[in-house]
Amino acid sequence: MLMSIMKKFIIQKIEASSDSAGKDLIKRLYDLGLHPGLEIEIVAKVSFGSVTIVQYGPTRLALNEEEFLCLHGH
Amino acid sequence: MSTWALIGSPNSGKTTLYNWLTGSKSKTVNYPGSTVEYSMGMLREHLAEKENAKEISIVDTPGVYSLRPQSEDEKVTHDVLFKTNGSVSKIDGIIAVLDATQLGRHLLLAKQAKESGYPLVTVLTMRDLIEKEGSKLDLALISKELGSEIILFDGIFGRGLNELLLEIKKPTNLKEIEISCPDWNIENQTAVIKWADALHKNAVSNSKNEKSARSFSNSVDAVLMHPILGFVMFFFFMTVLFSAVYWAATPAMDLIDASFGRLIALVTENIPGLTGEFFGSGLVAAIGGVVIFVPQIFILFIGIGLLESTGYLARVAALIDKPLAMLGLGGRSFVPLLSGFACAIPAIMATRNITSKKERLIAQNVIPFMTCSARLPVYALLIGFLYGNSNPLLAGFIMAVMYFGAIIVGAIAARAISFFIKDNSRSRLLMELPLYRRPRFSIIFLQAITKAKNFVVKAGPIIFTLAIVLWFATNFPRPLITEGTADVPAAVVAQQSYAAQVGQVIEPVFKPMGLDWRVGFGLISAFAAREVFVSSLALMFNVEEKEEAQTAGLITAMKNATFPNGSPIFTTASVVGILIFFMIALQCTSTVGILKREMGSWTPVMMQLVFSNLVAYGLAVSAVTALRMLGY
Repeated sequence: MLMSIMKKFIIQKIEASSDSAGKDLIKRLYDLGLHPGLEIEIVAKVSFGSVTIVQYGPTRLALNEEEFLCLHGH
Repeated sequence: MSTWALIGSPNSGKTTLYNWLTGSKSKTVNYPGSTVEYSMGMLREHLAEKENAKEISIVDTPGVYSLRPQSEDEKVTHDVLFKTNGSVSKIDGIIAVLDATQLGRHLLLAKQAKESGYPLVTVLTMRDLIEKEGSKLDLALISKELGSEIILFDGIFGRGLNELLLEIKKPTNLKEIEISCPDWNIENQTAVIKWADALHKNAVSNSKNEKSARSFSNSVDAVLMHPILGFVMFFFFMTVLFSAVYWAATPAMDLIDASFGRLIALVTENIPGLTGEFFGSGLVAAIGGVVIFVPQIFILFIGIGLLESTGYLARVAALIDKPLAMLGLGGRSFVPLLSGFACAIPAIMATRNITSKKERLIAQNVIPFMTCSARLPVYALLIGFLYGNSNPLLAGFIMAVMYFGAIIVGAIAARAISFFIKDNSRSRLLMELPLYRRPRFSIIFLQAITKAKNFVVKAGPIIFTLAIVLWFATNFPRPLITEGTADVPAAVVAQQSYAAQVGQVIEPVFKPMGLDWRVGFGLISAFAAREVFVSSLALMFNVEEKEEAQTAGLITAMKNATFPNGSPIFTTASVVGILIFFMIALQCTSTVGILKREMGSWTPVMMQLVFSNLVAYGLAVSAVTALRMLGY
């Protein structure tokens, strides 16, 4: 079924383009509690693979491609 | 008098608390971004008296993740707190509303609220879920770390309200405190996140049941967000909702229809002369023409209420982000677009939640195409004309086709508008997926009743006025009757009336749509409110079958209506033409007003008004011509 990805992921860096939209996006990711060192779980890819559902603690977020690509890690 | 602002992340339960405090009936739903405008209300009288806390007003604000705004709705919250010359009076304190099941993350905003300088009271919501999970909260520790009183609140039974009142009735003195929006930087934010995380771990003790609600949500997501099954389920839910609007409402509509038919007969038989004609065939018929559609409006709002309250809509937003992105929109546009099926006005306001200016503009332009509840009466009448009451399931299917047709029209319009807007910034999704919740049927039921009532109340005065104007216009001047001759038939009166005289002038415009001046009059009256079209037709065609149910009488009158040469006015071709016109044309004057307010300029609004009506007219004429050539 859908929820078979369940891949763990530790954020090392949060980066986006240096324009104001990119800065706003980084700020919003931090506002949502995402930060380097945080372990997140990639729960699923939906919407033809363009949206990633991530879970950390009790929070479940849907991120589009651009937003998910801001989260660098392993 | 003191004023307290409710501040919290989206979906934290602010509006529920606001409703408890003020007695308002603001809509509460289970997806982020439902509140886009602030609301202000006085403390409920019995609460104020009980706690001797009179003269307290409460402001509900749109949900924010940070006090530094990034979208139009977040700016509303920011301005309530920090814009000194804003429309809200001075704020005396903040009630930070935090979801107790998401405490670690929601503490980030509470910390900012504390740093703003305002007196702070913190309310932890979702008490019922915490208790169900068997979790324990160390309120004293949270209070000490945050520097704020902590109240545990239950949105179902209102437990915790009295404790909250005791806190906010204490006098505050802002004169010595400097209020400002806290600065933001990554280092500080990282430190706050770690502080909140540590506090969450120390203050919340979990039991074995902790994951029950989440496990349930995850299991449901496995089906509803499946790459294929998710779309199948989505279309299934939408089709059931849109078709139910027709078939599920039929029994109640038949009952209302028959009742109004009897009422008209009763009035015209017992009040003699023109007065009886006016009250029966004029006023009662016009009112009945709208009241009959209340069951459909009610079912539509029940369906939308169920979808909103479960948490499903946030999932759909994620699910269809990519298809919407291909149209220049994004997942965040979904909820405003869906709201457009109820009414375009709140739907257009809901676009404030969309961060991308381009996406917001496209959504605002596309929402008026969605099949709002005012179109329902028109569709129901015309589909009833085409398919009768013999096959409600087929009629329901056609109704669903009308809804999906509107979506396709909206999609084409979105793509076209997207082409002309030079802005390549990608829209943002970043959507929090809340836990699924059981719908509270009693609240959804009450909200649907309120919406249905509002529909009648809003349409009532317009219909009343137009009924009087149209009745006089279609019944005067009266032909001279010589002594000993019978009454002049109503059809002859109508043909010589003022309306007919004006109608001859405008008829050439509607002739290509296969319509005569009477239907043209109806189309023009629909610019006051779309639903008026039905009652206008009832008046213009002077429904005479008084023993018959009213809509059935109107359909019979439509079937018998002819041009002077004897050819029928209402054919499959002309009715399809009217349906196409209503599907595309921007007619609602209230929608035009709200578009101007949200877009900030008349130019795009007038362009949309003119363009959509021209396209609607052009397509309707084309469809009528093509269908006539095919023999319809």
